[in-house]
Amino acid sequence: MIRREDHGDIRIITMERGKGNALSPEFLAELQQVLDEERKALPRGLVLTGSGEFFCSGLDVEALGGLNHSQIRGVLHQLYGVCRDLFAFPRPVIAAVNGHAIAGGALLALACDQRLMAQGEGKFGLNESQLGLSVPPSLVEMCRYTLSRPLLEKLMYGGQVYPAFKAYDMGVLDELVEGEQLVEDSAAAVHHWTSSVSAFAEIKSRLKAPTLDAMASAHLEDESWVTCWFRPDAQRRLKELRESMAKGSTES
Amino acid sequence: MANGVLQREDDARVQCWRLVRGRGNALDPETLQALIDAFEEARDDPRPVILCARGRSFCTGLDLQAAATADRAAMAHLMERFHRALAACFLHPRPVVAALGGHALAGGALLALACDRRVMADGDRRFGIHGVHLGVSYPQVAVEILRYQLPRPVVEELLYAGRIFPAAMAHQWGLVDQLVAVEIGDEGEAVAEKVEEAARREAVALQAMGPESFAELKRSLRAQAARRLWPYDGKGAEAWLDQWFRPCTQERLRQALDALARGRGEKPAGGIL
Repeated sequence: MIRREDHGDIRIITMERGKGNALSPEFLAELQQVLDEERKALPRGLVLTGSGEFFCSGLDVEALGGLNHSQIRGVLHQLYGVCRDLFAFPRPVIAAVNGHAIAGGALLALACDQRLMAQGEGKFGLNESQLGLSVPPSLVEMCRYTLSRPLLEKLMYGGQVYPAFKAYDMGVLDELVEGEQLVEDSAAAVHHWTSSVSAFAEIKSRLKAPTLDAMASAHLEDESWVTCWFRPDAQRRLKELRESMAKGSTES
Repeated sequence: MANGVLQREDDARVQCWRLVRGRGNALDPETLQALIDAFEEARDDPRPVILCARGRSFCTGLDLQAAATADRAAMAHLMERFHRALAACFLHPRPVVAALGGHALAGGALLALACDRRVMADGDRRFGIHGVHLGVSYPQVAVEILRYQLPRPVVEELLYAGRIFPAAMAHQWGLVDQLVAVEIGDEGEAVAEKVEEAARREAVALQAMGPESFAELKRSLRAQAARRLWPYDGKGAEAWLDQWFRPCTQERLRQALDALARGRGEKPAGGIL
């Protein structure tokens, strides 16, 4: 579900699961394994991208449908692990946002050091609140590093998904580029920041240390998100979403 | 404190401290100690402080020549002085305004950012933090000060990319609060006086609410950063020292010193930290 290739001394990680690159437990496990391996290999930088119309559409609502409380808790722990390891990776990590990045997919992009997005139809947003859900406390802490307070509140409370140009205007994205240039420009962003990889790694760990501490303690309270997931209102909206997705796929 | 590196020129309203070491006012242990002592002595003085210099440079950062020959113990001592001087400036209870008539680079830019405000002369003066090009990172005190002063994207671009900005661009990026226009014919002393006068006005205005209120507000605003700065974490500094003494860093350092020596035809001083 994940392809890896070298671009000079930079690793390009392409999510190509299909299904909007939705995050199922298996897909999250594969992402985690890729990050573990890359942390050992330590390339000059990582570029995380998707395929087709999607960067990543967030948690796989279909696959998560039948899971019980402790299994959902497990999925959240996986998502936390992947986001944390992207966030703390000791080299620059650039999200090359090729298409839609929604909810958990936007969180993956927000875990990266920079977000470059392709001009076009792709949308970016945290729409958890539309589903009666929230963003897990640990990942709110992570977003507090990346986004200013007004932006964070706008994205999270508003729950809207924005066209790429709008997300760029708001300051959620660092650059808006031509689709064909996306990987090339992301690689250039890695180079721009790695005059010395070891100096980069040390500065990044100093800058992010307080956030990583806050994430770890907030993760102990992520249980509140699991409770939220099982509330009747959220379950009803998730069910409606699954039904409309099923209907959409038979129609198309 | 009237020693060879810091000169006072106080008036009834403002204390004016001038870096007069020369050689780009590079920060050696003596200069850092003079700053530490000055802030200590001024604790109970209600007047704001202007930090300034005459000549091409406000401050070009850590003294590379002193650093190049320092062993690990001497370097650890230098970094501890650096931490204490910057923290003393950052946490001083009165307004501290940097009057930048010349370049503020690396550790010199950090010293300016430890102040409450930065006033800089427009034109051919530069502001930036470029240590990564020598393969060195920045100690905790630098990270805490930048985190407090600037938005995340600016901090990252400044530190990771090692950018140096012309004065006008430093102002656009929010690194400098006020840009003082320089007219044709204004040179040296005239520029410095203009910048210092603007800095005086800023400093007095900042404390218009009264020294006690200002001190209390400043302490509250900076409390979170202060908790991460004290007590001084010698252990955290070890990672920085490891990096400094790696052969490839030392090699880049030697090359930089050679280049400086060739470029100026005089003894190099500061430049990176």
